[in-house]
Amino acid sequence: MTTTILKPGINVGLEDSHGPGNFEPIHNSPDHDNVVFATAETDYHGHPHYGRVLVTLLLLLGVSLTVGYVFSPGIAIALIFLTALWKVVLVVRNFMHMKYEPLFVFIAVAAVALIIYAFFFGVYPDITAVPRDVTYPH
Amino acid sequence: METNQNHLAIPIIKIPQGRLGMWVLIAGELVIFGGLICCYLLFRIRYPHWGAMAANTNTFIGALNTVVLLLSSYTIVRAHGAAVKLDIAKARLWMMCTLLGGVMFLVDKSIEYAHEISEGFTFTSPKLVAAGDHVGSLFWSFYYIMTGLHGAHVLAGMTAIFIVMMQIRKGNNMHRVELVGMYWHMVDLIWIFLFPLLYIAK
Amino acid sequence: MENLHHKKSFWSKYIFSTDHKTIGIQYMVMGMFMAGVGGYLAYVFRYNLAFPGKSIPFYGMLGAEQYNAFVTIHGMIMVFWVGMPVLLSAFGNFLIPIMIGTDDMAFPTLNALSVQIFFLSAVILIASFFVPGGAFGGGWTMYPPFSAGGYLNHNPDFFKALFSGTSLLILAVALEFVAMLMGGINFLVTTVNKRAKGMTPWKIPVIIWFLNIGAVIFMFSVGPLVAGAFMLLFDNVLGTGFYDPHRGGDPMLWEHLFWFFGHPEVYVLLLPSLGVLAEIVPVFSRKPLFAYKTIIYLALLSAFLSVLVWAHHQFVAGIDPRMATFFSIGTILISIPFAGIFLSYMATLWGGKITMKVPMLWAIGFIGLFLIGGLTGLFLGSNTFDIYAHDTYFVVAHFHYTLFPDIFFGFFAAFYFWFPKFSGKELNPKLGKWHFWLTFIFFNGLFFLLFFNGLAGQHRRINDYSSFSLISREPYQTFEQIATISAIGLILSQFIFLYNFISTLRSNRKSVKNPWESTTLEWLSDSPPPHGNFNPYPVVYRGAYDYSLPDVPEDFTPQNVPNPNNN
Repeated sequence: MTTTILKPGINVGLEDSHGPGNFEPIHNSPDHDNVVFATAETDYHGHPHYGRVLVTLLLLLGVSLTVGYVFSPGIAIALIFLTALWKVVLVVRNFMHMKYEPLFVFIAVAAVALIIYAFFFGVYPDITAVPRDVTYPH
Repeated sequence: METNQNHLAIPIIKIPQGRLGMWVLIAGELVIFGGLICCYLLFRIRYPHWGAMAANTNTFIGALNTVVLLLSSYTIVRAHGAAVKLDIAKARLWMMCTLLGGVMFLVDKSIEYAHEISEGFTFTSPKLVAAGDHVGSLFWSFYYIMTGLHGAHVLAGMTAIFIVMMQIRKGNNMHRVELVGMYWHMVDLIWIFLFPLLYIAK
Repeated sequence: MENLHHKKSFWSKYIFSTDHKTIGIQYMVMGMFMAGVGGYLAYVFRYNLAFPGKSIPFYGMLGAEQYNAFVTIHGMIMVFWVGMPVLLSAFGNFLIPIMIGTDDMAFPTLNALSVQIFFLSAVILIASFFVPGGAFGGGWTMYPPFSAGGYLNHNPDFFKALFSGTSLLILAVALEFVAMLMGGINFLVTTVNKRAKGMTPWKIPVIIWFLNIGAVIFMFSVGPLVAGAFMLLFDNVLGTGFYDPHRGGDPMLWEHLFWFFGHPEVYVLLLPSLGVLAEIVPVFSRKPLFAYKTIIYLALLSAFLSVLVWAHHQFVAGIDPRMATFFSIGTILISIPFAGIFLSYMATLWGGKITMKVPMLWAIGFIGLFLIGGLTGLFLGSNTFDIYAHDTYFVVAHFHYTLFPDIFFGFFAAFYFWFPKFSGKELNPKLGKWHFWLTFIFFNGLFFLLFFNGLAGQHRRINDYSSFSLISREPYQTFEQIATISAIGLILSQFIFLYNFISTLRSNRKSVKNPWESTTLEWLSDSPPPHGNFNPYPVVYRGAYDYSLPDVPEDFTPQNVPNPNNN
C-alpha cells in the first residue's frame, strides 16, 4: 500500500480508504501511478463565480415572490415552479459542482426525478380523480 | 472478449469515492423527500381548500429563511474554496458562518412554529377538527411533517459541519469540507421546493 | 485507525470488526438465525391450519390473534430479515471486494455501523412479541386501518402507542432500511471506485453487477415508503389522519407507497440469486457464460421496468381501471428480461460438461422451481384472473414458488459454493445431496397442492376452516395436512445442513485453494482470506468466464492471466 502525502505536514484524507483502486479518480494529476488518494487539492476542478450565482438565486427568489401580484394565479404558479426548478439547476450545477462531475452522477440524480415522476403518475388518478364525500367549510 | 486497446488504463469514472458516496446518499435522500412532496401535491390537487390553509403560513419568514439558506450555501462553497487552497483558518471561518446561518434558520422556524401553534394549527389541529374542518387539519399534518423532516436534516447537516470543522483544525480530512457542503446544498435544494409549495402557492 | 499487526481480542475481531468478510458473515449468521425464527412461526401456523383446535407441539394452543401475528411476522422476517441480509448484505459484503480484487469496502466504518443497526432492528422486531397486545397482526403489508391505531382514537396515549406492536414493527423496518441503505451506498461506491487494475466494466462478474443493480433498485424505490412510514407512525402515536378517509386522508396512498417499494423489493431479492447462478452454472458446465453482456442489459432493463409494475398488487383495492391495464401490461413485460436471463443460463448448460456437484444441484433446482413460480405469476399479472385469485392460497403458492427458491436455494447454492472460501474447509457432499433432495421434495409437497386449494377458493387469512363447510370440503383439508407434514419435513431436513456445517467446521477436512476450478478473483487469495485479501493485488486481463478456451491446456483461465490477444 503506497500513499502519497501531497504537502509535508498536511495529512490529507487517509482515513476513508486504503488499498488499490484509489489510484483512479485523480483529475488533473499528470502522474497516475504515484498519487494514490483523492484529496481536496488533487481533486480540484476549478470553480464557477459563486457570487454571481448567489445574486442570480436571490433575484429568482424575488421573482417568485412578486409574480403572484402581477399575473393571474395559473400563470403565476407555473412561473413560481419554473423559477424553483431554475434555482435547483443553478445550485446543483454550480454549488454542488455537478458540471464538473462525470455523466454517471447526472444519470444517478436524474433517475431520482424519473422515479418520483413514475410514482406521481401511477398514484395520480387514485388520489385526485376519485370523488370522495369529505366536506369542508368554504 | 472485446478488444480494448486501453485495458490497463484505469479511469472509467473519474470521481473520488467520498464524493461519489455523497452523491448516492443525496440521491437516496431526495427520493424520500420526493415521495413526501408527491403525497402533498396529490392532496393539494384534490383539496382546493388547502389554498386557504396555506394562507396562514408566514410568507415573510419563509422568504427570510430561503435567503438565509441561500447565503449559507454560498458561505459553505467559499469554505470549500478555502479548503482547496489549504487555508484552514479561512475555511473554518466560512464554516462558522454557515453554522450561524443554520442556527438562524432554526430560530426563524421556531418563531414561526410558535406563532402557528398559538393560533391552534398543530400536528392534529384539534381546533380545526372541532370545527369540522378535517381536511384543513390534514394540511397542517403535512406542513409539520415536511418542515419537521427538513428541520431534522438542517440539524444533521449542522452537526456534520461542526464535526468536520473540528477535524480540519490540524489540516486532516480537508476534502470533507466539500462533502458536508454538498449535503448542506441538498438541504437548501429541498427548501427551494418546500417554499413555493407551502408558502407561496395559495 | 486500525493497526494491522495488532493482536485483537474476541470482541474487536468478531463483533465490532470493520473487515468486510467478518461483516458479511455476521449478516449471514443473523439472517440464518432469523430464518430459524421465521421457520418456527411457519411451523406453528401451518400446524394450526392442518389440525385446527389441537394443541401444537412445542407451542400450545394458537389463538386467532396470535395466528394473525405469526403470519404477519413470518412474512416480515423472511423478506426483510432473511432475504435482504443474507442475499444482499452477506454476499455483497463478502464477495464484492474480493471478486473485484480489492482489500475492503469503500467505507468500512459505515459498514460496521450498518450491521449494528441491523442487529438493533432484529432485536426490536422480536421484542414486539412481548409488548402488551402482542406483535402486529394485520398482514406484512401493514395496510391501514389495521396498522393505523389512531383511527378510532384521535388523541392516542403517546407512550402506549409507541410501545405497541405496530409502532415497534414500523420502527424495526425503518432501522432495517437504514442499515440496507448504508450497505447499498458502500456497494455502489466500492464497485465503481475500487476495482483492481484492468477490471473494466465488462470484465466484472455478473454477480457483482447484479448485487449493485439490486442495491440501486432498493435505494431508489425505498424513499417514498420511508416518508410513508413516518406518516403511519404519526397516525399511530399522535393521532394524525394521513390514512384516515374520514379526515381527508386516504388508505390507498399507503398501498401505493408500500408497493412502490414492495414490488421492486422482489427484484432486489431476485437479482443477487440470479447472480449466484451466473457464477455457478458456467463453473459446473465448463463453458463461458452465454450472452454475458445481454444478461447485464436485461438486468438493467428489468431495473427500469421494476418501478412501473407495483399496482398489480392492488387490482382488487379499487384502483383506477385504466391504470390497472397499464400495470398489467408492465407486469407481463417484466417477465421478458427475466426469461431472457434464465434462457441464457440454460444456453450455458447446453453442450457443457455438466457435473452435478452440490452447488450445481441447488442452482438447477432453483431454475426448475422458479419456472413454476414465474409462470403462475403471469396468470396473476393479468388483472382479470387476479380478481378471482387474489388473496387465495394460489397467490401464497405462487410467491413461495418464487421466493423460496430465490432466498433459500440461492443461499444454499452460494453457501455450498463459497464455503471453502469462507472457512478453508469443504462441506460433506453426500450430506449436501441428502439436504438438497429432501428440501426439494418437501418444498414441492408443501406448496404444489396449495395451488389447487387456491383455485378452489380458499382464502389465505383464515386460521380455522372447520367453520366454513363450503370451502373446507375434501380433498382440500387433506391437501392442507399434506402441506403441513411437508413443512415439518422441510424444517427437519435443515438439521442435516446444520449438522454438516458444524461437523465440517470442527473437522480438519482442508479444502484445496480453488476447489471448483473457477476463474474469478476470489480464489486467488488464501482461504479464509487474510485481512487485506490479496498480496500482491491482482491485475485483471480477461473476463470472468473464460472456460475451455481453445489452444489452452487447462479448461479454465483465471482473470489475472495475461491475454495475448489483447495487446
